[in-house]
Amino acid sequence: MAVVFLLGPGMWDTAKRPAADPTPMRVRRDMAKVMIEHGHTVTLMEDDPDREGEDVIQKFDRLLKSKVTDVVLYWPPLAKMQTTYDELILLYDRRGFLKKHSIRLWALHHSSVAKISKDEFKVLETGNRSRYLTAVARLGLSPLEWDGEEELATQVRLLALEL
Amino acid sequence: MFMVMELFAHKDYVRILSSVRRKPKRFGELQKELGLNPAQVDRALKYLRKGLFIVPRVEPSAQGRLLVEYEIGKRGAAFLDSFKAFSHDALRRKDALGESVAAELESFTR
Repeated sequence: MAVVFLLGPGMWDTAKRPAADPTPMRVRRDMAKVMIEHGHTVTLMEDDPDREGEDVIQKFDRLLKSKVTDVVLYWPPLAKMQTTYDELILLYDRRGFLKKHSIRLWALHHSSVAKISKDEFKVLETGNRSRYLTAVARLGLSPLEWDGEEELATQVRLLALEL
Repeated sequence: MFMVMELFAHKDYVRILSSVRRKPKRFGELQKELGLNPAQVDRALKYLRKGLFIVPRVEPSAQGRLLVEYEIGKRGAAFLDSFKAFSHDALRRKDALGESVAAELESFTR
């Protein structure tokens, strides 16, 4: 069974999308629930209690080094991504650790974020948004595309079978 | 929906699954190896990816492009094992099913 570190945004960008929609955090918790039902262990940064004297980078390292087998990145459109960018930077900086421990990287991304065109993975996000995803893609990312909540739910179920 | 019967209806889908099970491959390699046109490979890979029968993996090229290689997924491997068992059993009954059925089944994984 897999030990999953589930990354992604916690909030929508309310200038672009109603805050009333289930938050990305809620979506990730629902994703975690599906994976847990399949016997996997899932960790979300936000749901793991902070330890005394531990900063956010130390927390990230502690969780990543807790026998993680798979890192799953949830990337919806119109979310506040700054915290996720920070996590992607931390992840990229730890590429040696990921490789050494054969930790697989998955991205459950919306169809507006990136696409596979024949032989090539193309990041559709622009500016800084594209740079972070491109950097992580270079680490051997397995991208899984979805378009709509129903398709996301299907992809999550299928990923839970694959892990 | 990713109905398994859809795979039986598309021989090229099963041939691609068999091919990437032997070794992960890129789009162009599948096209060349299996003698398929780009539209056929594109349609098959989209279906197989959506059903996670195959898993795409990004491999950066020296030129900076993010190339994609496809490898067999657990679902794909399970389907092929099931298909193999079905074919094996059907081939044992080719006297009743007929030579053409046997040839058709064998052509799926060729």
